[in-house]
Amino acid sequence: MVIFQNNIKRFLMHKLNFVLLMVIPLIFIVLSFSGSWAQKAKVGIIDHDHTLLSQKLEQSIKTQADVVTVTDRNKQDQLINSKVDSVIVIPQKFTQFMLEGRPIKLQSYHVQASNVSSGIQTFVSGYLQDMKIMAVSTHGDKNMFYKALDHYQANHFTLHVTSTDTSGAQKEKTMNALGFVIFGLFMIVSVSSRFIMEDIKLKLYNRFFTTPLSIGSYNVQNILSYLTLATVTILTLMAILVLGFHAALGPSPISVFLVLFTFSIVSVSIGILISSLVKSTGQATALSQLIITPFAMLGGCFWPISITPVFMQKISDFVPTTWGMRALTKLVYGNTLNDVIIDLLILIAFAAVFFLLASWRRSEIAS
Amino acid sequence: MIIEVKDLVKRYKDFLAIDHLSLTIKEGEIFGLLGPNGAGKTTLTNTILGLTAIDQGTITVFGKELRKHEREIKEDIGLVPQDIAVYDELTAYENIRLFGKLFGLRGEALKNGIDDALEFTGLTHLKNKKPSQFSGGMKRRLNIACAIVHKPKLIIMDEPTVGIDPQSRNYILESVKKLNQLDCTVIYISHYMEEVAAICSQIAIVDKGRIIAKGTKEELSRLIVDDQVISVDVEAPDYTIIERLKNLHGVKDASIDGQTVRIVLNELKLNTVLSTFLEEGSTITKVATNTPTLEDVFLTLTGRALREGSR
Ligand SMILES: Nc1ncnc2c1ncn2[C@@H]1O[C@H](COP(=O)(O)OP(=O)(O)OP(=O)(O)O)[C@@H](O)[C@H]1O
Ligand SMILES: [Mg+2]
Repeated sequence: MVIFQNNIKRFLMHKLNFVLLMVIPLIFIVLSFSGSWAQKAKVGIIDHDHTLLSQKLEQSIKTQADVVTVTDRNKQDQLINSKVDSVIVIPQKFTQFMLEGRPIKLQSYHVQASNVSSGIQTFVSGYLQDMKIMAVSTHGDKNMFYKALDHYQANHFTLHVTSTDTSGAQKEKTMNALGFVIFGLFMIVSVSSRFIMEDIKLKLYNRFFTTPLSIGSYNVQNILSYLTLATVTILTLMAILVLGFHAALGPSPISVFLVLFTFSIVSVSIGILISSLVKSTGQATALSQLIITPFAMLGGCFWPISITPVFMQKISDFVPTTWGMRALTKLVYGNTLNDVIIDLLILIAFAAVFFLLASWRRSEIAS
Repeated sequence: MIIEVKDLVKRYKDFLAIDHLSLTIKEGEIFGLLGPNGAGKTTLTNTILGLTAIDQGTITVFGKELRKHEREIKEDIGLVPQDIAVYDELTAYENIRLFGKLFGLRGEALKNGIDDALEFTGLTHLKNKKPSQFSGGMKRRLNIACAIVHKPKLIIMDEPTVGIDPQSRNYILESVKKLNQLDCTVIYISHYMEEVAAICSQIAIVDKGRIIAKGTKEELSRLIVDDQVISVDVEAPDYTIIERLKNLHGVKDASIDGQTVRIVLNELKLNTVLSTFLEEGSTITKVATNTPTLEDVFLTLTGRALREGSR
């Protein structure tokens, strides 16, 4: 395990490696969990009732989300282009029905699987529920009802809402943070390709084989060393996420680890493939950067894929980051290992293809 | 025999790098491999370590067939590569330790091996420095230290003195002799006649993937010992004169290097040579006669200078 030890040692000698793998993700993890910038949903409201009550409803939604005016006609476009996360329609006679205690259903539209809007849905239905109770208990007395409502809004409400909203927001923050963990692990592409190119450039790669070391052993030890570094990175960042930020890793944190680890294997395979394609350390670094950031963007490490244009979503199926993020999203939103097996298999397939290409390319060079 | 190479062929695509080469090296020798750029010296040593696949032939090292015992054989060989191959970011000590470990040394044996290698190459006082702060000569010495840490039975040094100061060069030559006295067989590859002549007990001259002469320094010189070497400086030498000289009975070789025409002859008198120049209308500026050196042997055998622009 001499080569293994040597690689770990080389990694530890340069602060930049730490910065790439751990510090940058850490900074973004902290940002992900600080403030509420990411959680404010954009809600479009169409008010067909125009009463004091409908305005009050609008006001209270405003405390939870950014409200945008939309019309019946442009609501579809607004949703599709992600100008808003959901649209709530207040029907005519909303107030009248409410005071009379008759059943009301607000129509709402939202983008499929947008977890941003789910908080608002919960909020609005809770609000309506409480309004109904007030309407019933004030027996349709308008003045009493509004008085009760004012009182209710002033005290009770904000508390109630933030508590129901928390878990959703926390999940979102966690996903945000995990996006950067994936990004950090993707940096292994750069580290591994650089290390191998350095060995080749310094002629150490050739010299190693003047000793009893075999090429197979060299490769295995290299891969193991990068996976060890990845494991340490994953465990450290996961510990910080859970202990420091109470991140919501879903019901199976071990599966989260597995996904991140499998993703690291893909990173290593890409790094090795790059080292077989380029001629110098500089080229290795350049090509790594050319792959890492765009792949991270396409894969949804920095923002949800759902907000990107459709053609990009289509391309994203072909980058491994997407599958890593997809699996993590499933896990964070309550699924277990069984539900991410496919994603894991796809990641492994990516790694297998890259490893094969690399070894094919190496033998090509050798002959 | 520590090495037996039989009928070795190595091709790079259509290029014949080793051309049906056979060679035996006895234990305890300092064996010099002399040859111009691209002669195939490095390729030959690479095949001896199994680093390069061969197209034909057999290689036996320490009495074992290379193909079957590659790992075992490598444990007892130290190769000092032509290009310096050490980590700039590791100290001299750490570099040597890395190779010691790769050769399977642990604990005391490793520690002793490193200390001996450092002392042997005169780097003990620099052991905690990184090669990035080393001079060319120090780097070369570290390059050697990494190859002797495991006390190999056979050391192959591929041009270990390229581009260094005379002092470091002498140091290295002395240490090669010392290694040899410690029962180590050495294969010493070089472009430098003087080095090979000074330390090697056997010398093989390699050209175009073949061994064109082999023997002790004396035996090689004897190949042309009855010969005389004349250098004639003329104002504008041309190839007509070379052709005429070569056709003279008794002239073994004639070549031009700048203004100097170099003629190896055995029976002929100086008169005949000089009158040929005069007949051609050349203006002679200087005439010198020498006894042949290894360099002359090489030149006569290959028709080329050992190093470009060396004469
Ligand atoms: N990997 C390779 N691919 C193609 N040709 C090669 C390769 N390695 C060496 N050669 C060719 O084989 C020939 C012998 O090369 P080699 O390095 O053995 O020469 P050498 O005697 O060590 O020369 P030098 O004194 O310059 O080190 C050269 O013509 C070289 O161009
Ligand atoms: Mg060479």
